[in-house]
Amino acid sequence: MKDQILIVAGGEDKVATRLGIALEKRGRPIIRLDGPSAARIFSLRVLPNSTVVVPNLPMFVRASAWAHTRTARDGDEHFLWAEAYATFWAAAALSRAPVINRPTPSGPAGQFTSTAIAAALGMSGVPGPEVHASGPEMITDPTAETWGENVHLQSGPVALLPQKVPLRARKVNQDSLYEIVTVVGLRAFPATMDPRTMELRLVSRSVLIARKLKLDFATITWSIDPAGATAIRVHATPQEAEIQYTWNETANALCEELTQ
Amino acid sequence: MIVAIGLAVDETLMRFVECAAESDIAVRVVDLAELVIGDWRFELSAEESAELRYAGKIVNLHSADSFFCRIIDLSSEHFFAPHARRWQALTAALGYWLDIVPSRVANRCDRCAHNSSKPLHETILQKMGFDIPESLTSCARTELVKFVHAGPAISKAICGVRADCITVEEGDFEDFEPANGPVHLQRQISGADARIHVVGGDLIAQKVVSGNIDYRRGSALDHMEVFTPPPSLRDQLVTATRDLGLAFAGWDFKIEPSGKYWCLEANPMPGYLPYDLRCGGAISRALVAYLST
Repeated sequence: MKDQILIVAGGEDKVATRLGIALEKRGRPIIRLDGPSAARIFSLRVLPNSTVVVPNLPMFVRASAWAHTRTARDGDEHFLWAEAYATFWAAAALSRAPVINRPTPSGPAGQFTSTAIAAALGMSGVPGPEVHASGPEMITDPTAETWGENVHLQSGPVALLPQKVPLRARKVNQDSLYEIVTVVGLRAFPATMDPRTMELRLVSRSVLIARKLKLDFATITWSIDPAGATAIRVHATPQEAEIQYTWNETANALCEELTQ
Repeated sequence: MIVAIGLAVDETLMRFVECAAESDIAVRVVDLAELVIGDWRFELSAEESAELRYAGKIVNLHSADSFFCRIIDLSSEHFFAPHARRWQALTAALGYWLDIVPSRVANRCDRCAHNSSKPLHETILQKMGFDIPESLTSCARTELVKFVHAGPAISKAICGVRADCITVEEGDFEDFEPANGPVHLQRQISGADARIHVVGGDLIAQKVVSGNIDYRRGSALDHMEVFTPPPSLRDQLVTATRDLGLAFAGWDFKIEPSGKYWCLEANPMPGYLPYDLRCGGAISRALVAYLST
């Protein structure tokens, strides 16, 4: 397994596929496994003064690794799935090799508490208060500017979303412009060449947010209006569409982080 | 006002409610099984209000309330996706909301989540200064056999679900296939079993000497006795509970005849009912007092 890099992702994860190709072009062999299969290659030994994880492999971890495996037919199968999930969580959290994105003691990277988000965004403008509700009918006084995203990942003005489907919602400025900054380690790559990105220091602010949330790889979406810029989304498992404009820089940076 | 959030069929939750009633402390029960088929709105704003509508009533939660939580996400019990998603959405929203309310909460949702990953949990407790039994988590048959060969070992669940803890021998792995794993093995420690509940700065410790690998099986629970742990351990537990972000925790220990304490785990949502019954309700009273302050 010398020099190998483990990509832990679902079979249809395009970002994982493209990164695998980029790593192989650089001469680094990859192993690509879904979450349960990855969990089964690790042994963790808690010793009197330390914990040892073998094999010691750099890892690129995607949420997709578990998404399509959670189809347990019965309680026993669900238990085995949970045992594998718990093992991989520990292996990735405790490995001494580079891990993107490394899980935290609270769970997978990108699973933030609202306190953590507030702390991270405190320096970068906090978006308007968010409401979590059982359906659009529970949002009081929605306006055309109240947008939501429901559990079916449908988003739009709250009034147009289906009733009785849980959602999160907040006010948005429909006249805002948007910038997406991809962060890899201490580097960050904006999707546009708009001068406001530089003026508003969105690159350095994005890196700060990712650091605060302990993310090595993330996209930060900014809403920009005459009053300034507000970080409105932090995505720890960015999809191909979010990073396509910065793919070359992003892939180079990811490869360097994983092979350092 | 104390708000008790969980499942009405949860005997530990209802034990807390009964104890509060005996102390004339007002408690409102929010039954998640009813709420999930009702409606909710949690405002993550400066006012931090929440409105719940279920079972023909409207309940408003306020940031000045205190909360006793036994929040269980039953989404995995529902094979009908919309029901599962409602459970996930409700428990997530509740978790976010409880995370920002400034009042006392026992416990906020994601604190000590690593209890659901035993090797990680053990490593974190070890870094906090506790003595932890050696363990191995693996699918590698040869490694598992080697661990068992080196000394008495037990097997327990990795993910924190309540499952039988059993002794294992080398022969148990003869037909082992990696697909049946991973397995978590821990060095077996001989001695008394202790459960120490920490509530804020209070501590209720109980122990029993039992011949069972898992003292909760059989009648050993009936013989638990309240005891006073060493002052240094007491201080360590109160500090560690706070550092884990918990107001309430159930710590499990093995106590060797020499007096050495081996820490097994810290439970962030202990089902404390059987222990409370055997110490005259001291745990519930401590919780009610903590949340009434």
